[in-house]
Amino acid sequence: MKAETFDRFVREHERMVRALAYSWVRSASAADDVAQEAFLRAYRSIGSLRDLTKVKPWLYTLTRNAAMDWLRREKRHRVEELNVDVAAPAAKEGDDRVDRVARIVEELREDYRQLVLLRFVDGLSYAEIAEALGMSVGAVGEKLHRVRKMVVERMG
Amino acid sequence: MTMNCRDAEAKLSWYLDGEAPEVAEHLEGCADCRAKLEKLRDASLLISKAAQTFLPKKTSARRPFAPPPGMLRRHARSLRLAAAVLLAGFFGCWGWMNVRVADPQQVLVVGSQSWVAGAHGVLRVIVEDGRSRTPQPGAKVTARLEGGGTFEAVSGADGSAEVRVPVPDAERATMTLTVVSPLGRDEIVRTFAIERPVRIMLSTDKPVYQPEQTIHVRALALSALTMKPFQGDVTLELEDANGNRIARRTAPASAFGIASADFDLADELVAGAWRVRASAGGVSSERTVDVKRYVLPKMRVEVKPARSMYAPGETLVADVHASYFFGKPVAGAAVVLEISAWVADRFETVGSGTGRTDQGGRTSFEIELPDRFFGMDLLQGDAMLRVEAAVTDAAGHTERKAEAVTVTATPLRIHVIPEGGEYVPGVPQDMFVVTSYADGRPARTSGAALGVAFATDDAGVVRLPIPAASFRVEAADAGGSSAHLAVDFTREAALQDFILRTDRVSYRAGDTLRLTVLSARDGLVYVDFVKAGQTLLTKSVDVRAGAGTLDVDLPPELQGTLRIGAYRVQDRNGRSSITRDTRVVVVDLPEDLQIRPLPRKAVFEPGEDIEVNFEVVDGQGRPVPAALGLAVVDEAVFALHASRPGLEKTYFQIEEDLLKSRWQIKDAFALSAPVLTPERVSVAVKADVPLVSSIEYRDKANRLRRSVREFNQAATGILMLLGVLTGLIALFMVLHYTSGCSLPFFLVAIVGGGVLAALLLPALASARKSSVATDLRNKAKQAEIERLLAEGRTPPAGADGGLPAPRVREWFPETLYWNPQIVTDDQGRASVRFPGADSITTWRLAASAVTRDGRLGAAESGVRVFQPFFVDLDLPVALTQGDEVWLPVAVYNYLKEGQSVKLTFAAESGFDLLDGAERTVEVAPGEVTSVRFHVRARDFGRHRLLVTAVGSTFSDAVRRPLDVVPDGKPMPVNVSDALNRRAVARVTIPADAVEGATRLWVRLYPSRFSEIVSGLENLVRLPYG
Repeated sequence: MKAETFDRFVREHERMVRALAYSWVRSASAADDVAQEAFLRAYRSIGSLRDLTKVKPWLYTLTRNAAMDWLRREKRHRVEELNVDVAAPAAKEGDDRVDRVARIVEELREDYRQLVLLRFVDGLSYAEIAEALGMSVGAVGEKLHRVRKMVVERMG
Repeated sequence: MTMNCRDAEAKLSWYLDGEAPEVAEHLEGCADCRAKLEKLRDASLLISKAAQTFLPKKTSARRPFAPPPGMLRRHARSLRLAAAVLLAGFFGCWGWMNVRVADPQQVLVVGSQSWVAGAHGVLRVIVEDGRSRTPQPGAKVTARLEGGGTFEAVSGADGSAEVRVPVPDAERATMTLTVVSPLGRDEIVRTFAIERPVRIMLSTDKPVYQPEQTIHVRALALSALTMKPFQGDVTLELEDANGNRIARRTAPASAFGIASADFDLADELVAGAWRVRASAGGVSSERTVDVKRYVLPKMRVEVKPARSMYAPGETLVADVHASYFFGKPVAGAAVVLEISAWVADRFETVGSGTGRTDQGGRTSFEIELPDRFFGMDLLQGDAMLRVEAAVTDAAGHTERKAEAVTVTATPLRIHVIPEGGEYVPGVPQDMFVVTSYADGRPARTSGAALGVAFATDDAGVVRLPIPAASFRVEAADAGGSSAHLAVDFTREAALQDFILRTDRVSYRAGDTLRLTVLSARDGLVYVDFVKAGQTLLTKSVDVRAGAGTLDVDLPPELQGTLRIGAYRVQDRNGRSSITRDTRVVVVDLPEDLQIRPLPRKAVFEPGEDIEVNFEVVDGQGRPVPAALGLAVVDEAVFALHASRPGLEKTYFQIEEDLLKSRWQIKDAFALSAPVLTPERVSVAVKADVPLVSSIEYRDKANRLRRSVREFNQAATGILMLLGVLTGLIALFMVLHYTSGCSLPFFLVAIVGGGVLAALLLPALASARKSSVATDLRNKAKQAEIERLLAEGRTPPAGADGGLPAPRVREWFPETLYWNPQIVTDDQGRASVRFPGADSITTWRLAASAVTRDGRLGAAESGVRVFQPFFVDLDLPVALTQGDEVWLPVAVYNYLKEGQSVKLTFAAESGFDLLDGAERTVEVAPGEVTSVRFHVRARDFGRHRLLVTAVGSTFSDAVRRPLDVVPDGKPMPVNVSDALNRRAVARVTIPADAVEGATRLWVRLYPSRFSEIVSGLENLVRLPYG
């Protein structure tokens, strides 16, 4: 892969990969590390990816693996870092409904947050999400349904 | 209405995401559900907006990943143009000069530079008109061999003539070729080296070694043509994992062609894959042995998947069998079977099961495989599964064993390779159709290609004349699997990357296996030879002109199934990928000779002398005198498998290979080589000779011509210089854009490097040849063993007039006996007697035989050492000072009745007992149990632990050493100096160093360069530089 192409590839996926990494490692700097590792792995092995339409599930799997490795490594002396950089919901011109939803999503369990990211930000299909997160398509649909219902209920 | 409201509501979220279009129909007729949908849609919109805030706002300060920017590319066009103009001008002038001065007859000689004694040397001479490049038929070629005779040939319509000459039995041969045609006359003198190929079968006593052990090496050298024992010097060498030559012995081969050496390993060394090499008569043979610290397994675990290939969704059936090395099954052991699949970059568990072994030590599992595997995209539709069993016996000891299984939806594979490796358009050429199974076994198939029916041989190969560049191949095996492949050579040639082929499917020990790698792309292909999880040999094959070969002499110990795995790391357009191919071959024992080992008893007692008689007979059962090689090794050594078994290991190694920086100097320029047109390539390929040669012009010795030659040489020099400059510029570009290296710094570095290189260059060649790292070997262990040997034979003293104190078992060697050459009497009989060790195990007796006329034989059998009641310490490789552990002592009772056993634990030094030194345990007949002693490792060093078990009817005692390492960080300090009669080095030992843990090594190197290499290595390896 040419450097420029890869650069574009990184720019295209970086934010998503970091956000996803953050959902596991819960620290901005660790998320950067994990993202970097995931891209490094991607760079090394992209040649072996046959089906280019699966690049996202593939990349997110690499991210998951990298995050799991990080967690395993850091398990012993893991410090909960306060998150300032990444997940603080941005104050958006007065739309406090968005803020409230952001807080609701923020409180969700990590697997739900990952689903929200992959579906609402990245627009992946259920099958692709299932592949990236290693769950069944049925579970993806069920969990997304629960998230929506919860937001409907909590927002009145 | 097809759906009720409840079903529809549950699916609303799916519908919003476009995953349940069937809900639309219900929504049309149901206002209630429509309202709910709108609420969900609003929520979705909010979630979408909210989720955006979870993305990092901007790229982080640190770039997550930044490959070098495409700066070069911006100027690429102008640079390329300039380079093209320069090159074209240069080559134009050059070509014009050469064509003008040369006479029209142009002769091209294609052939090998070296010949094999006793065979025929073949040269192909191609004659053509140098101006029009048309073949010249009817040219008379006369070959005069110095002191050998004259041979003639006439060129055919394609301008080529084949010259065949018998190769004389000499060091080298000089041949004068005279070529006469109406175009002119040429005289070419060539000298050929003459080889006498030797087949070397190299064996070692075992495949893995620990520091301080001895590697026993035996080389059997036979002439490849006559199979007579080789007479001459054989050199045996040992290289460590870093490629340093550790030892080298040269000795004449015996009358049977056998040479041997023992290499003692130091106690501190570079662990990893060491190489043993034997060379004789210009040929060498290699073996890889693992050197590392390990603990021998207590039992053998076998995992046998019913098949080596499965389809996704099938049920995998696997049998697990566990037995102790002393021959008893492991009954009632807990077994955990785990199946993992290779996902993207690691193994992930996809299924598991638990079970318990029966009285015979067996259990079996049925596990359903998932319907799909993510990794399948990455491995050409295959997934790799690791089936790993962990068996824990009643004494709490666990052993693991893993096997690999391929999961594939397409079990049968077809590959098509043009005969020259690459498709040459417009030339009729044969195609090899190769069919194999996904797990590497060759597939015997029948099928059709372009309407031509074919049947592949046992190796799964058929050669077909196919007059087309694109066609379709279909093949099916007898079992009903079928496959098809559409071939199109008009598109990019790289349909498949490379293909591995062996010349046969089954071999006999003593044969030479020829491995051919066919590929459309040149470069290195790494090859591993693996037998039962042990890598026996790692080699690389250089693929040039579409093919590369590797010859491996098969020693008798390779008998069984041999898996050959080949890998290529490709770097295309800056991206790396690994492609692989595997083959499985079977090596049978040679049938020329039969060896019958006859142990004096079926089962020996520990410490008892072992006596074995041998009889060697030929194929007709007649006794023949022969030389025997004998190794007696603990079975447990062979069951020891690498900590990262099978495929995972291979993957990790390759990954590590990828990360290693490599450099090589390519053959810089080949300007004097002829321009090769497809016709010529195909001629050369058909003649089946390597394409290495030179072009010679008519020799009139005129001055102009000589000056052109001189110019050619000068031009080559200039081009090389240009090449180096271009390389430097490229290097600067890379450094500049990756690490911001400035130009002045770069220039200083290059000039400095150049000066350093110039100073060191003379030392470089000799350093690589003779770098010998001499470690001062720790002789203490040796002395200890000798003392134990003397001590262990003394009869045990009686205790209190009761039962005599049991004899202490304490000598546990891995290799019990080794003899590279035992010569039998005229009746083919020989007898060996050697002291038995204290191990309770099965000793593997591996014998190989060779006669004076080169006939081979091999045999393997076991000698069991056993006593019906015994205890053993289950120790780790080492403990750290201060560790508090429960050390397990396993108690094995195979007596007919149970007994009460009093166990006493004693450490001769260095250990504190925390919870009493005595235990009493009741053991039932056939029971295996364990007792734990709580201890603290007080002092570091090697300590001996003694366990005495006094039973009511049978007693035993065992003593084993255990290493305790200091509790601290190793702080290495390196001092390098040149030894000029006397050298003084001062080392400051830190005040807080662990007392008594400081060790000093002195390494002597013959040249400054190897010292630098070693220093650099330390620099890279240690975290403190």
